Amino acid sequence: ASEHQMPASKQQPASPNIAIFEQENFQGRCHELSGACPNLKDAGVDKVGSILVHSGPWVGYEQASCKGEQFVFEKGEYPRWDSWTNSRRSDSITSLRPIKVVRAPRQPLPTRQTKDSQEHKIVLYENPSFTGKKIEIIDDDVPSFHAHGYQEKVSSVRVQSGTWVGYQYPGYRGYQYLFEKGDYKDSSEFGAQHPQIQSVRRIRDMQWHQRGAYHPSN
Amino acid sequence: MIQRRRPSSGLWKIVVWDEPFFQGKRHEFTTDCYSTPERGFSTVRSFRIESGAWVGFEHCGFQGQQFVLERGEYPCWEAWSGSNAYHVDRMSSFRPITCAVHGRSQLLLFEQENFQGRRGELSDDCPSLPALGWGGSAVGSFLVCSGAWVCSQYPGYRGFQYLLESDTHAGEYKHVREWGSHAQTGQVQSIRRVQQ
Repeated sequence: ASEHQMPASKQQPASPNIAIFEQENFQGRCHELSGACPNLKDAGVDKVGSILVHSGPWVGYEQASCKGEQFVFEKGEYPRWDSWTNSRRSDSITSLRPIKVVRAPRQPLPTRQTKDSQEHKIVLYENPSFTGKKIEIIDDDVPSFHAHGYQEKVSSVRVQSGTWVGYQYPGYRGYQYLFEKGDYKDSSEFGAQHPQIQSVRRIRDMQWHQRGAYHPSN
Repeated sequence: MIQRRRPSSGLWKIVVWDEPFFQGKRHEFTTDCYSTPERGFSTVRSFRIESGAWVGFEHCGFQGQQFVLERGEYPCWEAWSGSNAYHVDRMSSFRPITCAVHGRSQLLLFEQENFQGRRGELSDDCPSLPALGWGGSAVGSFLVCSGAWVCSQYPGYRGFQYLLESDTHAGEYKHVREWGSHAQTGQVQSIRRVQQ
């Protein structure tokens, strides 16, 4: 086994880049984007058939102007519409934008941990306007809220740090909802028709994450 | 780190219904179900995982597409297979995942079969292997050191799922054939720990 080294070119944070193909399996006309596109049709994209994310993450939306069902895209290959939807309700993507990710500091954090040093913190509440029972998550991915004793609906969300994606069902299934730093007072503010979230995970810039999971080794 | 305490629970429990949205005939299981038809359920169309982690299968005898199922409510097929490679509107066998230890999981992945080629080590969830710098979109073999993991064909835990357990054939998954009866290619773009 040889040691796995990341190429030197990847030591610089890459600017967002996504290739959109009009047909499945990376066929047909190709359009590259490096920034937000509020209406793909205006940009000359007739149909989104497959997607290659060279540098991410991105979020796609069913409707123009970043509205409707949300689809989170991380770096990788998406050969068909069913590789980005969990609901299989719509095969349409009409707008796209890069997701801003706060890059982890390159040096280890000071051992003195303060509340401000948390990279990811989200609080989800049973009722609108941050009331009712709540579940608070810090620096972890949670595939099952029930496993942590939270079985209530989610009607409001407060993101104190980091970027997150919530899912309707356990194990990161069902409708996806992107949560960026800020307050979501009601489920309509995060684009949900039903106030149900049963799993949530962090969006990270894996190459730069100080506590990234990947340790090349022999 | 989670700020809530987990309720104490050592065992496994799944409640299944033969109609969607928790309707129709109901039955509780606390151990393996090799074949739902043999237990009087021609299909299972909704279920609730009350404790432990489980793995469900498309066909009887733990065959076909796999669905990793953690605690929660699964009212319709979209909830367990809406993100899979092709949708499966029933579940015909299931069993507990007994080795899941969310916080202390470790996995080695190899570029080629039989633990050959470049190697990487994971101890945390990874929604995009390409973003970590893993070249290509395929993995050749896995060695599960601890815990239970689920790897997926596409980023963000979508597409075919393959369950990897430390207590199944010593955690060794040398070849794509050993990942499951539905495994056709070594395409893997996301991997995560299973929540107990």
